[in-house]
Amino acid sequence: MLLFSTTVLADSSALILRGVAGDEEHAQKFTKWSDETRKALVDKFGFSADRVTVLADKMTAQAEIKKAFATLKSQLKPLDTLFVFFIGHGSGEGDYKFNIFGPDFTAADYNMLLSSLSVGRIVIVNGTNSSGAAMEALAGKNRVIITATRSGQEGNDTVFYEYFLEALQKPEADEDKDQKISVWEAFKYASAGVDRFYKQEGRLVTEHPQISDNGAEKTTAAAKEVPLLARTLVFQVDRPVVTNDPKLAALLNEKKDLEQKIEALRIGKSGIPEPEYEKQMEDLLVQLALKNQQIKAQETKK
Amino acid sequence: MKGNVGLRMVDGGCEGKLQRVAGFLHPPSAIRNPIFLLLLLPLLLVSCGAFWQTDAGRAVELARTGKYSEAAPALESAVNGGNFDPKVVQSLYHSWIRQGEYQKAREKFEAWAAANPSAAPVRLAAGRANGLVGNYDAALAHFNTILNNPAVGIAAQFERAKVLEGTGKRDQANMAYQGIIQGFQSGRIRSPGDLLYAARAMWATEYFHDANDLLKVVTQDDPKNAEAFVFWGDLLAEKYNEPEAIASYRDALKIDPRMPEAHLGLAKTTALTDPETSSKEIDTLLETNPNFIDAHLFLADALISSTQYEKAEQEITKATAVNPNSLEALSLLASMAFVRNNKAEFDKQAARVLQINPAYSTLYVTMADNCEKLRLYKEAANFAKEGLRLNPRDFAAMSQLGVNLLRIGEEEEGRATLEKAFKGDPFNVLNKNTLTLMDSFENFDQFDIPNFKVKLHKKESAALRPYVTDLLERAYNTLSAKYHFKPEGPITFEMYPDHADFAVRTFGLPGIGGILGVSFGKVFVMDSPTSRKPDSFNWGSTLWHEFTHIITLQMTDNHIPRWFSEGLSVYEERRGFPGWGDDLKLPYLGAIKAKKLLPVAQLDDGFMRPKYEEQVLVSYYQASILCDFIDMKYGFPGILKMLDLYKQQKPTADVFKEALGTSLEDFDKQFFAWVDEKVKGIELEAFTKLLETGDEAMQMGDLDMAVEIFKKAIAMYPEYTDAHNAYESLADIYLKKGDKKAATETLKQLMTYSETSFKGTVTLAGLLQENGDTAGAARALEAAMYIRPLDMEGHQKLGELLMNQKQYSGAAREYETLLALNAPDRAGAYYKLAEANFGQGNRQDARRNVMKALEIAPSYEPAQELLLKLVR
Repeated sequence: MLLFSTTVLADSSALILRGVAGDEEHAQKFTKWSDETRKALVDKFGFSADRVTVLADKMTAQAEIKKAFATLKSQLKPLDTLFVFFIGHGSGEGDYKFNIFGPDFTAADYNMLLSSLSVGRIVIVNGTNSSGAAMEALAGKNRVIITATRSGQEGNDTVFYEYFLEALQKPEADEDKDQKISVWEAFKYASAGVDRFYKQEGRLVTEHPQISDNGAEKTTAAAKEVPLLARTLVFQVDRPVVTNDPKLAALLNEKKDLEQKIEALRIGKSGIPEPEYEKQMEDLLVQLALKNQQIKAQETKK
Repeated sequence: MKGNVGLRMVDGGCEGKLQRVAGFLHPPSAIRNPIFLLLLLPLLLVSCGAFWQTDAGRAVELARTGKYSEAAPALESAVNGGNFDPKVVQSLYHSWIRQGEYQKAREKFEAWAAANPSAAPVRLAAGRANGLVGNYDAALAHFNTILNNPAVGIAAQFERAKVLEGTGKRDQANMAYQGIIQGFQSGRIRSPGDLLYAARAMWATEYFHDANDLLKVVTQDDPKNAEAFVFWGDLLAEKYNEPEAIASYRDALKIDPRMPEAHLGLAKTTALTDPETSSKEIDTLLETNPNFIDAHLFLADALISSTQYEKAEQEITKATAVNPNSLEALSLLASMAFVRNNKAEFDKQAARVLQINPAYSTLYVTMADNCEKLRLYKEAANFAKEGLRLNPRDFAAMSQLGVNLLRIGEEEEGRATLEKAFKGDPFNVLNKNTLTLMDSFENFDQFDIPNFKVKLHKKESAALRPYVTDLLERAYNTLSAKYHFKPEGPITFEMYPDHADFAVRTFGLPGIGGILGVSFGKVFVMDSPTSRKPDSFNWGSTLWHEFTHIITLQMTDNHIPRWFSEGLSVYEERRGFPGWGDDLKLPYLGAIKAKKLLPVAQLDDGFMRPKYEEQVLVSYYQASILCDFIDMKYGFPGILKMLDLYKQQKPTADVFKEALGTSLEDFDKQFFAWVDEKVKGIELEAFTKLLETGDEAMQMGDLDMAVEIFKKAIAMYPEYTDAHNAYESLADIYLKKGDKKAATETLKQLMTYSETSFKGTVTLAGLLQENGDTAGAARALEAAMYIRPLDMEGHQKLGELLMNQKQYSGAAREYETLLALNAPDRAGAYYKLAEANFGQGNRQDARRNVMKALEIAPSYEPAQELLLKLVR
């Protein structure tokens, strides 16, 4: 984004809920997941430290969660994005419940809490077993819901979040090399990781990650049509590119223009004969490559 | 208990009412008339109480329960005294025949028949005795006089039909069988004995279900009739229902524990699955009847399979001593002459067979069968064709033709033939399974590479293709150069992710656990690495092994003996890649220490007729080190010379003499001495103790002590790389202590012996790379890919290493595999692939792949730079 005048900027907040572990092994695993998620959000993606809240163990009691939401309510703006991470155990018999300290909230309870916020978009990543049972209650407009399982019946321990965390940490997850990790890229990467895990171990697959995008029917990483909201939402906090060099600004705008043309050509691929598509794509890509060279040269001059 | 007694198949096939299996329909069988059954049952239960209390009666009972030697004198006395009761005569007949006293039986019954020409039971026995020893005309002469006798007429009709069939008069035989069946359908045949003949007549005329049903009735209502159980077992075995057949034979033995026919049935049905039991059954029956023709022929057949021709001849001679006109014996002589390249003898024996029975297609089925066992698949197909020429309804021949056509790469014709065979014999579960498998070929990608036609399952074809094609061509180029032989193509290679499909492709049946791959000469097939537990086998060495068979089979026109073929395949595995090829595993060490290795002349037996559970695997190992020994002592030219002599079909003793200048005995002496020397330092108990104490020291934290102990263990038995091996423990300790150099050396040594240590190999790769040995690291990672070919991380690392070493072909292979594995960073993989293509000088592919990268990630700068390089 190119900044010339004062603009209200979108920001991101995150709530990481680390539920009751039950034993030392799970405690270590969940702690690793929550700590490294926080680290990735703050160090890599540019979240302000005070906008990332981690609730764990006793701090996951209902009262504390309600307090956290109250804070979020005052913090979040209509253009902002809220990320909520559920790390721990779930249960899917009847209403989905995330195991916290004391009486559990159901998925419907979380939905009520989320609905009380005035926020632009909400991304929920639920890595627990049986998380699929929460999908229906949480899905909705301007929301992307990711669950490690497809239903409440998938009650075994999951490995999904291990790979989701990897997606936040590794450059390989950045499929389109735009230096950003989108929610969709992270979900795809994690799903592929789950798939590989069970194949390599020679085990039956007991978890099937799902995604619901903007209230649409839930789908998987194999979806033919890429979910738009998940694709555009990125973990990077959107800090604007500031420049007072008009030539550079122009080059950047031209670059954006080419990127949009490439995107449009890609979307319209099925309607164009293949040789023609390849020719047009190559032309645009070459132009984009040359434009990139010009931008770098201009940046160096500064 | 047999449970559900329908003639079952593994899948589908026979359903509902029995009809003639091909061609023409018959009206429903009378057996399915319940009223008739109700009428039938009481008659089956009729007995004559008083008879059993006489001496003859008691003797009959003794014979019935297998006490032949006790029964015979009393029975002989009774018959001699004029007691021609059918039960008495038949019991005496069986008592003599089942003890192998064929000539005595024939002479005695002939004499009694001459003195009492109207004694029908005696004439029946005389006829049968003559038939058994090959006097077919004399047999017919007796049967023809008693066809309408109320007591034994049906038996005579059946026996006559059997002799007519056995001497090629098929039409007359069929008429006779039909006569018996009509007698049954009209209700004239009612006695249990006659019902058994009716069932056998149904069987002979392909009314298999009706025969099965009637045998069920007979055995249920005459449960003391051991013979009925044996015939039932034979029918079930013929129709591929081995478990039920075995149960039936066991039921027979409950009645008559010595019954040779029942023991033979068990021997045959357990030959493949339980060779030890099979062998015991033969031994048991030969104690009772040392002259049992079928038993000797069964042994002969197995001896021919393991190329022990002299011993096979001895067995056949024992059979022909009883019946010089035995068609089965003469057929075996013919097939033995053929595989020994003795055309004159083959012609002579084949002529003898066809003179006795011009329609005896089983001659060619036997020929085909023995050719198949010796991997002479083309010859097997040709003989099967000959069999069909004599008898177009010989579905065994048709099935053999189909299967062997598939083995020589004639897929279309093979499939069409099998379909016809299956239509003719829908009980043939092997055909059914093979045809079902062939239907599934639509799920396979089929493609050609320079020297192979390749079939890989669609679900893994993309991921495996780069590595499989690379290794296939490498095997071809390496081994054809080494053996100075280019195999005739096209060579078909198939890989099956479902082990059951692989088993069906090779044997027609699922459930063959331990085998990983099979070669047929121009076709070789194997399990896919995804068909088994991870790290349980090395697919690379298996492919190499099987391709070596292609070379050695073709070089010798399939005349290479089994031990040499398997030995060379494992020997070549060892030279194909470090760590490949089985080394001295515990069972082999145990066999060596127990002096269980076989002399060369008997080594094929270890594969074909194993006497203990691990003998097949021990034989593989022995054969491979035998080849190592020959190479070491006589050089590889010695091996090549041996192959040439086997191609000329020279016997093994001559091959060793001419190629190596040694007798088999001298060779065995030297080889066994060498093997003993190899293992003399290994004390198994001491070795196990070292591993245990090493583990204890590790657990107690005394790492220095543990190091010393594990080093001793490795020094004693370096080949041991199975569970809890010293290498992995030692390497772990070294890493804990920070001694990466020592860990590296330890893992390098492990790699020279183990082909399945994925973890160790990957750790080694990491250590080598850290140390700057990128070539060594690449080699180690490549080794790992032959264990787990779908390991993404391994391919990623290997791709980087190969790119850094400018090994662009190898790098391209890695990135193609990553893309096929749906690596998350697809843009990155396409870009790297493009770079590798560019390095290879392949600008077209480079351009195509960099475009793919940029299509996913238009702003990907390295890819943009490459694109500009390519378009400018």
